[in-house]
Amino acid sequence: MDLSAVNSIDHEQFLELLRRPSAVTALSLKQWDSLLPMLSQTRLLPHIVAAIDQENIGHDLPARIADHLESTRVRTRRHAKLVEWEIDRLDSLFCNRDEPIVLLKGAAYLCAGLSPALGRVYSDVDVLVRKPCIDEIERDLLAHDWSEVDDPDNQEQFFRRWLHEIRPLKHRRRATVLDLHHNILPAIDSLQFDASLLFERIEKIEGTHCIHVLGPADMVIHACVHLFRNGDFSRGLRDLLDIRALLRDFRALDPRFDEEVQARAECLGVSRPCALAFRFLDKYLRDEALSAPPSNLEYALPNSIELATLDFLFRKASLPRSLGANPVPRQVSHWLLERYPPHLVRKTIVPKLERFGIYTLRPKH
Amino acid sequence: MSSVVKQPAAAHSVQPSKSLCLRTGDLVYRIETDLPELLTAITTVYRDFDLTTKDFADFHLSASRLSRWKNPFSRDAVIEMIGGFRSPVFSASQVMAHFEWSLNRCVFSCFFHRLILHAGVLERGGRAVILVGESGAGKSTLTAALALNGWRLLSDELTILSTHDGSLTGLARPIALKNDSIDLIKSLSPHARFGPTSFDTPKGDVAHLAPPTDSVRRVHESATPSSFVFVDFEPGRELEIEPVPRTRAFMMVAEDAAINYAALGAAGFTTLANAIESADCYILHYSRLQDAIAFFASDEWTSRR
Amino acid sequence: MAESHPQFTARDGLMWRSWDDEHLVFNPASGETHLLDSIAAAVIREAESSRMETERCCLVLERQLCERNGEEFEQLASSLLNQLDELGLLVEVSQ
Repeated sequence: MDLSAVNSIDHEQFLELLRRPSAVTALSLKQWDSLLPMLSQTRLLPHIVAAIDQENIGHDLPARIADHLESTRVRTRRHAKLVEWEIDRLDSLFCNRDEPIVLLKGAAYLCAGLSPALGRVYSDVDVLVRKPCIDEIERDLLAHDWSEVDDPDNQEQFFRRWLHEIRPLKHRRRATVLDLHHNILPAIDSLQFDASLLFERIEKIEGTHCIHVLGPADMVIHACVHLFRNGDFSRGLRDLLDIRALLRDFRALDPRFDEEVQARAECLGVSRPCALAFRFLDKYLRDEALSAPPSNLEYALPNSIELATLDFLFRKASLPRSLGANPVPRQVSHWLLERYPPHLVRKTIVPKLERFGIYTLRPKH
Repeated sequence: MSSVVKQPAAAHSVQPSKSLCLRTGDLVYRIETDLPELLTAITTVYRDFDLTTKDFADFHLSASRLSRWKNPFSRDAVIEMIGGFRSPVFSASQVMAHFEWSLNRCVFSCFFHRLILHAGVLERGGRAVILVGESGAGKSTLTAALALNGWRLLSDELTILSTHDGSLTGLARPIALKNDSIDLIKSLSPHARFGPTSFDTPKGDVAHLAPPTDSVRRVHESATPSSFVFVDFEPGRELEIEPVPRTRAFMMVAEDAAINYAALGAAGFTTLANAIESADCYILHYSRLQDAIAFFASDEWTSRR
Repeated sequence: MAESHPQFTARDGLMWRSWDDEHLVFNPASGETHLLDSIAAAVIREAESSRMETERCCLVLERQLCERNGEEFEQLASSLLNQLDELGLLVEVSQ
């Protein structure tokens, strides 16, 4: 596709850039003018900057955008360091307790040295522990500079605590938010998922006392299950990119990885969300390096009419709106997507997850 | 000024939306708005600025009226940074105050590679003085008074330090004055150009003083910090200046004024420590603005390092 | 098990600024900045060159306070070391 012929970026071009980031070198300054806000809306600027740096093409880009790239680099580096530090502190705090501390999502990718950690901004650190231990672990944390995020007016906090059974904790000095989980999905979710099964396959991180991550297949499955489920669809593309990067990493280590994912997804009873995630990945973000995502779960997909509806909704809700475009359809599709048949896309009741930053900038005005 | 008339942003919009580019220092904002109040205010206080259309803008803002569907008489409006924050809902007559806050917010929500202090900064003879103070400490009032008395304004709210060489980048944006300060500055300098007053904002009444033309023209001249002055306005108090130990000055700036200190990590520490080390740090108590202006013009001040 | 005092070294890469006998230290690992008095600073500085434990910390206290090692010194030293360990300024080393 010739990207230089137009002045602003449309959805197809945007997706093409996510499939082939090296194409950014062909963009004019005017196209960057429309691309940067689209990347901000989807929170994918750090991802693209990491891809630019990996391919070492930063010098070929307009000087005018250099500040934005540099700012993003500083921010992602800082985030990674902070999360590494929190992991280090957790490890030393729980080193004498013979109980696995399982990192989820971003913190896990970072700690295990996996590709989705590149170009990542962290909103919090997610930790999974066994249900019987969660109270004791929370108590230990509370005794060491962590405090409950306790804001009676904050509806989101209320839902997270009581519906998702997440214990959000905040560090008193560093303002990092740590989400302590004992399950993966809210108790009321239509999809039943027994988190204790995940502990069968956890893997310890070398050089730590108690820090673990999920097994490779479980990690991919967890990412798939979370697509559409965090109540914030603006992260849809970001989540798909994570799944893409994980598949790439794990397939390189294990040629039969797809089969393992299939077997494990069936065993955990989550074939359908995984099949859906792979389908969206194939449709929107399949790049040369990925070849095809696993297709062995396709039987679990919903029928073609439902799929077409989902495609329509996903495009509307997860892709950035172009500048000056009428925002109404997007809001409508969020509304629809949130109300779509619960077995496919179940929205959690939380109105909007505006999560906390790793550190709080506290402007005095 | 050249501005591009665009299609209405939404079908129910009555006022056509206008788009314009505003350049302050090396930053360009693209603003789309259907609020005539905002366009008038911008052409008043930003008269000396480059408002020509640009291919690329660092930040995209939309300032628009809310829900004409529901209430055609509503004057409520909101400012949104595309891909970023959304302001609280405000009355269209307060748009200038919210607009200026939004411009600030763009800078500190997007730029993590320069140290940004919530402080005023002015330069004279190559020496920059950084004015730090809490809300109500008289920082903006003093900044305005000095800008009207021969000092070059770099910025009223955002002091931007390079993490490479510690130099200051100016923006020369309008100075936000609050409540009694508005009339005080107007009486001090009857010819000063002001934007519309935004009444009853969360910070009281706010009006913006247009920056001196010379400061706008020289905005690309950088400067190095030579003193940090913690401003303490206290009614009835005689002017007094006392030195502040550097470690304390550092902690005060890092904790209360440095907006992205934590985000910068080691570079933030080094940049701020270098700036504090090469500067003198004082606390200035004052009650009468004339005394403060006279003090900064006096030999007592200029003879300090 | 015989009671053994933990030993510490200073964390790598600490960045210092010292003015008027007060000390700022930035810990690149945690991203936190600390303001230290001369005693705490001296303990970390000494831990940068060789291992620090309670007994050595008492000597630093003695020197800094210009006072002879009193009964409360050991307790003071061990709580100081603990605090600096929690902040990540000191790192416990396995013996």
